Amino acid sequence: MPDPLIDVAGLTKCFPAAGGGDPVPVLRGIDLAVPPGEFLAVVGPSGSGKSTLLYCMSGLEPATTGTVRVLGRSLGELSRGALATLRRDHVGFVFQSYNLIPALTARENVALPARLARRGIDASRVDHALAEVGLRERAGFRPAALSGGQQQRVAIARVLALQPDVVFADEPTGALDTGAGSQVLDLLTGVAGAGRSVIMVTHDLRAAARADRVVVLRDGLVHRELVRPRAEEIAEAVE
Amino acid sequence: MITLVVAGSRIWLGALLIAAVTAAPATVVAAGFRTAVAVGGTTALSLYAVGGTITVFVTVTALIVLGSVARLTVTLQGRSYALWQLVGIRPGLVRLVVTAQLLLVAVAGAAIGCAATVPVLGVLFRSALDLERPLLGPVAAGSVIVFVAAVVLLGGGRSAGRAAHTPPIQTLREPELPERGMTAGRWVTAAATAAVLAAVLASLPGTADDRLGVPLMLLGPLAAGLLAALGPLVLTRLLRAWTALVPARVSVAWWLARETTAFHAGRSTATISPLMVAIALAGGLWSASGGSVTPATVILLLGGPLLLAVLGAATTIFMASRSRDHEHALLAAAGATPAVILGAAACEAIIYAGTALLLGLACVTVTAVAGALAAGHAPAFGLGAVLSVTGTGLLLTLAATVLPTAAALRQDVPRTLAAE
Ligand SMILES: Nc1ncnc2c1ncn2[C@@H]1O[C@H](COP(=O)(O)OP(=O)(O)OP(=O)(O)O)[C@@H](O)[C@H]1O
Ligand SMILES: [Mg+2]
Repeated sequence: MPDPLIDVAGLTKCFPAAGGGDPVPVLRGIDLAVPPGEFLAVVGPSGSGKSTLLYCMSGLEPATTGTVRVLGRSLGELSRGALATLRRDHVGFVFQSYNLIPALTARENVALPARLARRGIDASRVDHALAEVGLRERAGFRPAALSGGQQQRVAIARVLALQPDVVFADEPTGALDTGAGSQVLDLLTGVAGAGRSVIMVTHDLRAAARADRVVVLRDGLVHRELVRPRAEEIAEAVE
Repeated sequence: MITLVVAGSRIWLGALLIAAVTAAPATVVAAGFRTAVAVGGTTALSLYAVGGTITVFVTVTALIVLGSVARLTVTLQGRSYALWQLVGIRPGLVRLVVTAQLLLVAVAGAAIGCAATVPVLGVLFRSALDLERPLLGPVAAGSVIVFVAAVVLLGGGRSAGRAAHTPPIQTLREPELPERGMTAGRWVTAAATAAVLAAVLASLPGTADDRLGVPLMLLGPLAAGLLAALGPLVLTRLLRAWTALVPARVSVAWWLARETTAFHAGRSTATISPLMVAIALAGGLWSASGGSVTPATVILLLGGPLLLAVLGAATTIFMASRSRDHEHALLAAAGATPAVILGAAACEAIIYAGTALLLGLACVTVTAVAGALAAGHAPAFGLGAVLSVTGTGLLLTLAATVLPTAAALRQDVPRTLAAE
């Protein structure tokens, strides 16, 4: 068994209560390892902590207790700058909404991580990534001129062009119709493998069924884990 | 409804502050005129002369600075206004509420500024004009408030209409109301300002050397007014042109700042115009006097307008810092390190100050060349004044971009993105 790309142990996350009372636990002790090449889906009812888990795993939000290791490095021990560099060089993120910089065109948004890492921009790779999500003709548009689903696809193109070691995607197909959604799933499936992992949060059980493994979250705990399940099995586990 | 009105307190606070700072020099002018009426004689004549010059400076600065701030106040809240409409508030009512908000802030700010200035009037009049008892009656104070309110409505009133009549969905997609380019109003203002400018220039030849001062002093603010009116036409183009001097591959931070400032034209205009006015006024005064002004004269004539302009520039940045934080969080999520984000914030301030310097220098050049031609001496550009005002402006804008950014970087990205 190769070393996991991501290793989560005893992860908890609490948010301060709105009225100033006891902190509210959202994640209550999660253990999870993601080996290289795995396509992992996280499902669960709304409010069960899926997005929070993704933020903690990607270092966008600190864990309250427990450890998160990405490529062997414990996120809690990294400085802000080191954490940002680790994310920049190894992690791609597709949010539920808000992904793109409004001032930049679709093409510039896709090329942004390479520019930030001063890696030199491979224009053909950027164009290819945009073509793969079917947005080649929209490359010069700014986000405000793109539909929600198109913006989501630009964000996907960004991780395709970046080829990070880990891709986190929060509801990447949420704003897409069935056709575009299954196209994006194909792309994400293609990213996973070749040593890269994809961790996807989704409400769409058929999308989850495309994953190698499905983790069902409930009340901040891993309720079930299913390996290569069918959609019906996932539905049963979520019930 | 109360919560709707209170929302966006950072923005309203900024507008309130600038309304108050506008009222301060206006109060000095009002007291000057009121006192002149009371004392009469030669004292009154000199008070009228000085008061008239300051009135021009204060009016031009107020129109540009407070006008920009009022416009920005509405622009930045386009999203909330769109949401109001989506929950069923009629456009007409939106317009009414926005206008009422603007008026409230203008009157409150003007009253605060006026009241805060009264205690210093005595000292100011004694030291600068050698006058014992400055007067400020209810009429003079009231006219200060009316002046501030009128400028705010002139600047923000059209935006209020636009906030109400832009389809809400468009606003939600593009959170800031797009700049409308050259409107008819702007063309009329530009043409009128250009005409006055031309008339002043035409009057110069043949004027005795010792009477050149006043018309020359008017050239700087007039040129600044003309450039401000032509803003949508020149500002973004100029900004893009000179910032291209640093190629994108040399500095990512610069490139990001360049794209952002060019894209958010409304925000950038609101910051650059006040700085430009400050530079044009200071450099213009220096140039008009052939370099022979005393610091006391500068403070008397320009103290208020300069303070207003420089504070205005910094405040507009502060007002927009919520949107800026949001963009920085997006950058962080895309892999930007804190160093790059702070660098981009600093570059943004440099781009504002640099663009303002170029525009301000253009105004000073008009004064310098016209003065040289009329008086037959070498042109005086007042570079010392220009550079010290630009430097002060740069320091303040740097503080206004970098400090809030540093504070925002401590917040977690998802929370900043979720906060609207
Ligand atoms: N910053 C925060 N402060 C306080 N509570 C929060 C914060 N972020 C999330 N929560 C709470 O944590 C819980 C889990 O939120 P999370 O966004 O992770 O859910 P989710 O499973 O992604 O839901 P959905 O499917 O609706 O996106 C929710 O009850 C939410 O209210
Ligand atoms: Mg979620």
